Amino acid sequence: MTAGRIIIAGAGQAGGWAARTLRDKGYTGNIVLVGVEAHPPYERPPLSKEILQGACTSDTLAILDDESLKTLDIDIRLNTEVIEIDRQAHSVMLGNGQQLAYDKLILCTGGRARHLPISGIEHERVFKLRTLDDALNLKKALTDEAGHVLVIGGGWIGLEVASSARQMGCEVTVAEYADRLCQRSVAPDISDMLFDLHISQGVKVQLETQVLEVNPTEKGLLVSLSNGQALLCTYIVVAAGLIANDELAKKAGLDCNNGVFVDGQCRTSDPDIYAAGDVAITRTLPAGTQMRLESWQNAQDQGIAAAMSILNTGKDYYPIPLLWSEQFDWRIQIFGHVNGNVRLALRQLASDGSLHFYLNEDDMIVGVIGVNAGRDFRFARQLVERAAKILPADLVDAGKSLKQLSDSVAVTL
Amino acid sequence: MTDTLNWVAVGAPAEISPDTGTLRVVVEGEAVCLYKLEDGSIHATQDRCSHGNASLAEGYIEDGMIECPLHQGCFDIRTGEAVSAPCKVPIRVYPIKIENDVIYVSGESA
Repeated sequence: MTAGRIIIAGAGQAGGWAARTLRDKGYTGNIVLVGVEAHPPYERPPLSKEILQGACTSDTLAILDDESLKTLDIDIRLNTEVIEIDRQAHSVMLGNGQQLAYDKLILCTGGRARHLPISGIEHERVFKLRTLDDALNLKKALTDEAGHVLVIGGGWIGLEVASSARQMGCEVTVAEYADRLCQRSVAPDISDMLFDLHISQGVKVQLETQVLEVNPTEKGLLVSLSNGQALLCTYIVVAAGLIANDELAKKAGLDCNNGVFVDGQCRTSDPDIYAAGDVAITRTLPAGTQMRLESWQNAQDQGIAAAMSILNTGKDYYPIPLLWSEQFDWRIQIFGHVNGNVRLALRQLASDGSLHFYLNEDDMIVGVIGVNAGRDFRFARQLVERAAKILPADLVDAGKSLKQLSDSVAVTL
Repeated sequence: MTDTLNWVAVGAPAEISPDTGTLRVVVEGEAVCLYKLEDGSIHATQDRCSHGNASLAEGYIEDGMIECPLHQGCFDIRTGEAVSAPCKVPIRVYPIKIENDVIYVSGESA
């Protein structure tokens, strides 16, 4: 490609890695990276953990700091966003009215925290957690006064916030509308373990519970719950999932459905427009399901994959979902298809950790979850990558080396 | 030539697990990971990944690279260079020597 311009709409993890990869792999044209936040690209996973708890500072999160932006010659535009795409003219309009032409455009617009239509929820003591600024605001509040935190939503962000707030000395209640924790993303055995973990650490967990109303009083926020209880808390954190920022793509007529559809080359329905990260709907392995992957791993890998595709050096990107979480002293790693129609084969590890293998109806290993599994997770992952069929009796037997089991199967995926 | 490095005995090559090829030791208060590669050579780097809070001794060795157990980023064991995302910052490599079946690591910079 002759030197021209690539515009990246969205300066999060996916946008940052796309920009870095384009330059690293030899693109010599103009790279414009447009971000609505005030910060250059940074990693979000520590926001709900180390940043809240004060175990690391925001400068350690940078994916592209000022120096590397300069070295890589990336034209970064912060505090603004792409508000319109003119596909015919190959140009975009920024929030400040500026028009910019592109050869290729990459949409890395991510998502935003879901807003809940609850009466009284608009209050200075009600927080969300998506951006660094969100995390710093919440950290300041929890540090100023520990108090009682109500977390609405028992998914990953909600549980990580609960874990952090608890470790900061807060009283914590989690209200989850489903009948188990992380219902959308994991099988019931892990939901139960998460529930027990949080209860053992003094978190109150209310399942099948919705928040009906919030009333500010002199003593705090008085919350009415759907189970008939009333709860007085100091803060509320809304962690009710993510809404894809696909409005820009929709307005431009690209194929969307709460996210932007992309092919294996990360191309949208317009061959000059790509998408990556939380906003993209991707075909995933092993089941071939089309879905958005709200994960650090996908943001990084798809950002890189989109850049490689543009440079015509990309392989097809059909990821196996990978994500992890840290809560109290647990490290949970998830790989593959671990929910829905799967059977469990549980291996207890000598280290106190455990590996939860999930098999489909053909006895093929389609996913695994490691709880404090350390290195063993590496081999467990390989079994998923190789679509292995291993006797469940061998999988659950900690005396059988996973490495040997993994070496015994050919690579098929 | 006088040996000016400050050598610390950390163990015998046989103590490096044949299963994992790694051994975590402490040198002058810093966690260090020892590696035994397929060619039999022994190396030492800082144990903590330069990206996340993880012990590289818990990682996986392939083709002279150590893969972090947490986010699967890789470092070149011989040079400490970060070779794959998300790792960008190199890890420290420590000089080692082996005398009378004892591995020595120098806590001073290579």
